[in-house]
Amino acid sequence: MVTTEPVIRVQGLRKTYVHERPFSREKFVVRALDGIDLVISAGSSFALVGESGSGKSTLALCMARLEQPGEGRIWFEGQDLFRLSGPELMRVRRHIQLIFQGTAAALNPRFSAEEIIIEPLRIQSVGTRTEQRDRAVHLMEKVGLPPVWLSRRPHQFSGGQRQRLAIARALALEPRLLILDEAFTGLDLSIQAQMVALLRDLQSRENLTYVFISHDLSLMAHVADEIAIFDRGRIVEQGQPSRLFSNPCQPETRALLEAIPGRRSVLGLGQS
Amino acid sequence: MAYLLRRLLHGALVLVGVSVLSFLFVQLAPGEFFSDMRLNPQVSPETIRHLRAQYGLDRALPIRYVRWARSVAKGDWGYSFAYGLPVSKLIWSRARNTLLLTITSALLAWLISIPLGIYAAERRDRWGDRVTVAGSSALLTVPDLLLALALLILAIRTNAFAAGGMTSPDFAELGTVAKIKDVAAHFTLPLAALVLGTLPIFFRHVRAGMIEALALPSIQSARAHGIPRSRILFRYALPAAANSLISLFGFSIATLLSASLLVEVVMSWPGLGPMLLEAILARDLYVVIGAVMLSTFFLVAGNLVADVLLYLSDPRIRRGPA
Amino acid sequence: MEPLLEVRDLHVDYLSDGMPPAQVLRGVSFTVSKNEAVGILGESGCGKSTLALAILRLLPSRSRLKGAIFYKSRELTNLPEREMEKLRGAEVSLIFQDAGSSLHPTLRVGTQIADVAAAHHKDWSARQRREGAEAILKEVGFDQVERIYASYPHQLSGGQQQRIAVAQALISGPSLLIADEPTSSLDTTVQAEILALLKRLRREHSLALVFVSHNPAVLAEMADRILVVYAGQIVEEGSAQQVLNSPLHPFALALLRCVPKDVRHNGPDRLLSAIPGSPPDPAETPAGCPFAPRCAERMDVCGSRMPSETRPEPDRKVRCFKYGG
Repeated sequence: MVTTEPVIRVQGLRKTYVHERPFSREKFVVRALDGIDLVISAGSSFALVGESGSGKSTLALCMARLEQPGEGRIWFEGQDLFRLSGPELMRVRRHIQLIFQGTAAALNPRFSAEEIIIEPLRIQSVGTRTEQRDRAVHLMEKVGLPPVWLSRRPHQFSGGQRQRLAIARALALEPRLLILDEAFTGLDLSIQAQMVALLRDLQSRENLTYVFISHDLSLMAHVADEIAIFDRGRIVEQGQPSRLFSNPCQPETRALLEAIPGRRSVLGLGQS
Repeated sequence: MAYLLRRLLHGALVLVGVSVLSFLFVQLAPGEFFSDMRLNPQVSPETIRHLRAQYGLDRALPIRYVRWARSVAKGDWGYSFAYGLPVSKLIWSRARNTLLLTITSALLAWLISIPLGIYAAERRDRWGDRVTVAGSSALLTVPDLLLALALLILAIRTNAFAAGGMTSPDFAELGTVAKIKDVAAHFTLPLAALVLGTLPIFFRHVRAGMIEALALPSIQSARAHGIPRSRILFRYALPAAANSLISLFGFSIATLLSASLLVEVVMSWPGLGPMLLEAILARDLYVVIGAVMLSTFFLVAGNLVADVLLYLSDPRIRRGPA
Repeated sequence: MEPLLEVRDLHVDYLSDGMPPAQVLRGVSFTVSKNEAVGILGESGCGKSTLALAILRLLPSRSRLKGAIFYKSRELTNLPEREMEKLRGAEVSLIFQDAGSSLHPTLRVGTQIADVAAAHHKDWSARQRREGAEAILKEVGFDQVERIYASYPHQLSGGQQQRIAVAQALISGPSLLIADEPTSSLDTTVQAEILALLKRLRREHSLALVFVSHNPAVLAEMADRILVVYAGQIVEEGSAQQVLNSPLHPFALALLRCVPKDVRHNGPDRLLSAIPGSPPDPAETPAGCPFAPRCAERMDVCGSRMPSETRPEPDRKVRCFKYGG
């Protein structure tokens, strides 16, 4: 299934924050986004990589229309995101889902897994009670959790299982774009690898597009088809992972490559 | 500064709101000060109508509110029907006695509960902790009224403390030192009732706050660096627990005030309590409103003090992000 | 040579009302020599942070510790609390994962560093403490020492906070530094800076290091020797070179396959391969090898008996039936 229309098209996006300090007339202007243009095609995995404070999360929030840019436009499947309103906007919102760092840790401890998964369906009043339940069972299977666990509460799941639950909830409304903002940060490598496998598997079965936001270039090289290196509100370099690794053109990219732990050590890391 | 101004404005709004509400609620109560007079055949309906007009009770509620507000601005706070005096004059001497009792007991209760709470938290689940927790639970289950009565009986049986009132009958003839001694003797009993009533609540909060604070990563880390136990308790853990305790402190002034009113009635301490009771029974409306306003003022002031303390103790509130 | 630290058959249980005790550490033994850097590798919940806390006797009150810990030949498990206070920070220091929460929010960072100096140098004047704190701030890489000294933690970045934690840990000149995932919550670039700092300070202060991490790539930077921990047991021990290049235990091998590798390798092992399942619940005692349910090389014997420790090569230990355990 190939559509010509990209999932996301961003043009000339700018956003500045002004900080005022108490007792001071000084104002600090932070350029979170300083002229961003990019195109993300359907079914692809796109990664925005940069240090914290580089503005990459602001871009993610703009894409989910949770933040209004100062200038510029974003089209989601050809529709101008910031001109939508009412039912049109509601429909588009369903198709864009966000997973943050710590989403899994912040699942409501009083809710059962089922309530957690169908909460978005209830809010959007999608389907009857039975249909919602069937959907919950289906989603549990999809993320590799036994459906009999639907009555369990978040604390009865392990860290990795909670991540799966968070993904199941994000998939409840059948989104077409999943934005994962530092969703791997703070996870064990073993859980990280499980998540990567799950996301890849999901993408192969449905027409999902991923936008990853991360500071971890080495991990992103494994999950993304295309990586944009972010620095101070701008994309300084963009390309396929293997190209960025073998031929980095910008100092910011080189700095991120240098920082990968174990990179220069003589150890082969398990390549026996 | 903006933070404190905002809080101040907030407090003022609360006071206005409470004045309106208390005005409305007092109207809801059946009857009024002059109702009883109607039963008296010697008082003509004409006289009653005249009296009501004199005190403005025949006017519509909003007009009465505005009149009252004007009287507040003058510093009178309305008139007492029963005493024929401005409410402010009536309340002030009583309020002083109540404040003396409330503030002393608040300070004393905190002074005891902080070290006790720290002690218990540090020995969590060991003997010292279990004994103090059990004691505080027992004290917590006793109603304030029962506590006051028990103390009163104790005082009368043992004759150790003066029971009832604030001074002895021969107070006026005593010298200065003897006067202070006399007041102190009368003071002990209501003070003990209030302190014993609130101590378990404060103690539990301090203990819980300290247990939580001692488990914080920052305290763990201070321990890992070998900072001595006593310094950790007072310099690290107590400030970490302080935010919730300071908020409780502001709130405690109000709780203590209402507990104090009860204890005052039982021990006939000449504070706001007995007067408020009398005024409610007689439907002496402006006195009731005045007392309610004063209590609200204490509550607001207590919270304001708490806000100032928070502002001073926590740099995150004080400075904002770098 | 006499080891600096020796942990002998350490067991730690966490107790809770009405529940079976959680056996977080099940008989851990190892040594750390002077100037040596030992990496402890494992998933979260395997007991590696408990191990760090147990060495300094900082376990929560509802826990039970068995076994022996020797530091410079002194047994720590029965040392009075007073003596432990003197040892912590002056002999053995600890830095935690999240520096943001391990610093006190309402005290200036300078005060917090000077407090550690005051705890171990009772004879120092206020001025000496301040100078000591400023000197160590310079050492951990701050330029504007006075501004940093007067800052509160929330005014600093994550990397700066971790530098402050390092300064606190080192101001009293310990011989052993235990670092519990000190860079896991940091950006990759900041992580690289902190790792470089720790390497330099280790050399300059001739420190021994116990570095706890879930990331083999980080240990590749830091460790001379690696202990792999699974479900409260050391399942493999060897030099960093041995463990990272040719792991013996199936868990160590599986964990290494979770490390994102350089994408320029285009071989089949370029892809990450996940370990199925999750670590066992420490409250349950497995009948056989605790890794068996997730193991790709499981044999019949694995489900019924616990493998014992064997030495397939000199200086290498492993706990797996594949090697005769």
